[in-house]
Amino acid sequence: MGAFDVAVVGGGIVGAAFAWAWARRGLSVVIVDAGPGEFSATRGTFGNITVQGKGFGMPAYACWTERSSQLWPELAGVLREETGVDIGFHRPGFLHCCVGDDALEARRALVERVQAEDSPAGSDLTMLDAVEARALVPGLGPAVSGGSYCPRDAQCNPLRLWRALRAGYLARGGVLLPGRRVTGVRPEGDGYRIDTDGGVLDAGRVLIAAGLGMPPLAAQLGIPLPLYPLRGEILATAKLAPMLTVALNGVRQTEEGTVLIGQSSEKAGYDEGTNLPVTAGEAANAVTLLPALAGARLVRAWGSLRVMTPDKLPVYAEANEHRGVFAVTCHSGVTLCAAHALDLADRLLDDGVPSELYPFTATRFHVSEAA
Amino acid sequence: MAETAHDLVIVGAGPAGLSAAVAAAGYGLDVLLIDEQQAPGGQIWRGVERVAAERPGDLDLFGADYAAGRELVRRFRASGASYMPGATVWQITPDRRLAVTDAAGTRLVAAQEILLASGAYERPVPIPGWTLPGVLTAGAAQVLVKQAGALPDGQIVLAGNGPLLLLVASQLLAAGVPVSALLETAPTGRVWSALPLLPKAVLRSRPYLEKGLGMLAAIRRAGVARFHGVTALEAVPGDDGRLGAVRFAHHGRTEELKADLLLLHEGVIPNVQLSMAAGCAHRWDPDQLCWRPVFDDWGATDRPGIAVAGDGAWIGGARLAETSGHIAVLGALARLGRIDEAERDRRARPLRRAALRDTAIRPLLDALYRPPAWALAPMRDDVVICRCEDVTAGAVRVAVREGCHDAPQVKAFTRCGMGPCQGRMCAPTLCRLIAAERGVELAAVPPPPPRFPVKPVRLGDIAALSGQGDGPGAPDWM
Repeated sequence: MGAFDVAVVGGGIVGAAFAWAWARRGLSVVIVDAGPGEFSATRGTFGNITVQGKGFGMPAYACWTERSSQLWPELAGVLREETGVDIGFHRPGFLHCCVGDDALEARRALVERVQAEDSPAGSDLTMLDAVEARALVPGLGPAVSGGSYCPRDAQCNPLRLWRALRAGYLARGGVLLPGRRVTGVRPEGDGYRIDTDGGVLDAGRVLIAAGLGMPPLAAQLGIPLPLYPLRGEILATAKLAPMLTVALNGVRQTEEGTVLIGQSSEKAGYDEGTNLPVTAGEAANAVTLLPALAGARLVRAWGSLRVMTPDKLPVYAEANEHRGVFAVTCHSGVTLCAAHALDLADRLLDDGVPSELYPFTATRFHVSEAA
Repeated sequence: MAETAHDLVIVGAGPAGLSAAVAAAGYGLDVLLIDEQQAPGGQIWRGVERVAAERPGDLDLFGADYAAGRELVRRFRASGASYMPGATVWQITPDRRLAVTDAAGTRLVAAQEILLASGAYERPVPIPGWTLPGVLTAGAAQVLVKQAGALPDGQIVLAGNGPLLLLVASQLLAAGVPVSALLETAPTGRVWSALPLLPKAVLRSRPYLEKGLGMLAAIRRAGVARFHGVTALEAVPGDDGRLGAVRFAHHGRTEELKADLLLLHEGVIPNVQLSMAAGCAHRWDPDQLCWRPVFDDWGATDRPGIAVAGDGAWIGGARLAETSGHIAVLGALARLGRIDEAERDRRARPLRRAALRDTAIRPLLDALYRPPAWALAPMRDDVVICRCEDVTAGAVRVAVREGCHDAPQVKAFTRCGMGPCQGRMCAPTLCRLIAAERGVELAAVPPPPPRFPVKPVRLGDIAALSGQGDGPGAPDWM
């Protein structure tokens, strides 16, 4: 099926971000995507681009998130310029609402601890009391006691982001092989030979970015990946008149008017369905934050599997025995998309995993297994 | 969470559901029938009690089949089965609880056995101009007449294919509503390909055939202009933005007829949203050109305790639906241990004979009234196929060219099917467009699975199912 500079296994938001960047650089790139029937975390993204809350107690993660947040306006601009797709990037801020005084005090203590660490996760983060919160977000319910607010937190339309990355990639001559499963990657000459269920292809380098589907393939190449699925449910209402600009924890209104609801975390194996008590809990949470939502009509709810690591941090790894074979996965592919596409993609190919991302290599899983 | 348990919960009060409820109550089951309408009858017998009480003369208007529904409805009312009208089932949990919302609120209903008898709906017919005011489905016009006694006026054109199209035409004529033209989209010569199926159908299905011939005769007597083998059908807007005319190709010429009301119909397909969302296996039916649940001899799906009956399982018409509802109840009785398999089979024997009789006509009807491909997926890129989200055929084609191979991914890229109807109206068209663009079989492109709730529900109603304080907290990975 041909020879390429780089092969990317997985065409979700993570894989597409790298593939697009490499195609823009003039490399010949192929995406092999298993497609239908595979677990797609991309279809379950909420569209938040948040710094707040990312990397509390883990400054390296906070710094990396911050880097991406800074690059996001550029990403949105370049995608619009190259594809004509407006991915709906805007920066209205994020208010983490607390319900009850105890929750507010706990949040305050957490924020103070983070700020004492001097981590980007704490910068621009302010505590609001109930009155201040209501001034920021009219319509908050009486149970909301306040919260923490970060004005730099942003949003986008994640499905349009996905589409723009893929369209931009194709426009730059990238090759997409949908509905193909990669069964093996082995060294061949100066590069690698990739076996798929629809033929063989050759590539100088390989990026494995196939989410929950990647552990067996990564293991073949000596990259241990103890990933597990963590199900989240998202609820979508019918389109409503504009009522919410700021994102709340588990509630945001899209530019089309849909209110998206969802912040659940559930260990449900590989089941992508929904669980009525969880759906009901999500609805109750949303109505507590914004009582006006009680009358909104829910048009669909769906489950999606986050790609989770034991320490909940992303993975940026290169195979020890197979230089030029990389594995990347994370549960915040939207937030980190700008850093992937506009920063890491180039450096990964030129120098391997950069030093500031050493905390996220797969060697940490060797250590935890030995312990 | 208020919760009550039943031996059998039936969804849908058409021929299949009513017949199942009557049978189940007769066998002593604790049975509950849940239905969206305010009165029993389903689509075919919609409002039959009210029409009989308030407009008895109209019973004849809708024909003997409609009047026959009165008898089953009467038996249902007398059966002792519990009945929840005006209620929507929007979710079925894996442990067989149904989330139901009606005027009184939302509750969970537990069932040992569930029978989905959700009937059929008309295929979308996305010709250019199909979204103009003044363009309806033939079935929708029939509902207006049955429910409200509201008779349309102006220049009426019926176009399409299938028994219901003829039925609606003859019902309108019987009600004194003039029909200006009947445009038949079945390719001419179709009757020859259906001929080999005729003898079996004649032997077993004389009443059906006589009914069909009777309708045709009435249409002929009324002097309705008929056009056979119509293609390139198009609804043309008038100056007021409403339907103004109907344009079509006929014998190589383009014809245009003035029209105030265009009624489209290309047959019906099973309403599978609940069975699909519940996770039951479905397959492409190449004869009926639709996706339908996979079920065994007793209507049981591959999901334990969930069975299907009637047109929601396989398009067979009202009489077969009645029989299949009863057969499904026998299957449930055996699974519940109320009767043994020998008893089940013995009771099913006469029912199976009746079913065979009512099934015999189907291959003929399916072949005779097979909708033409051009009526089910627009050639033109500017035709809207998803009315909820305003997605055109062209947008779908572009998404496929961008590498979307399956319907869920096209949905993600274009929003096609993301609206309140959850693809009920656009999924058949969407899948056809994808299959054509990729050059693969229709069976290779299943529709995006509908999500719960299958019908929109107020958030407050769902929140009410939540126990105090078990809402999700902030996840620890954020």
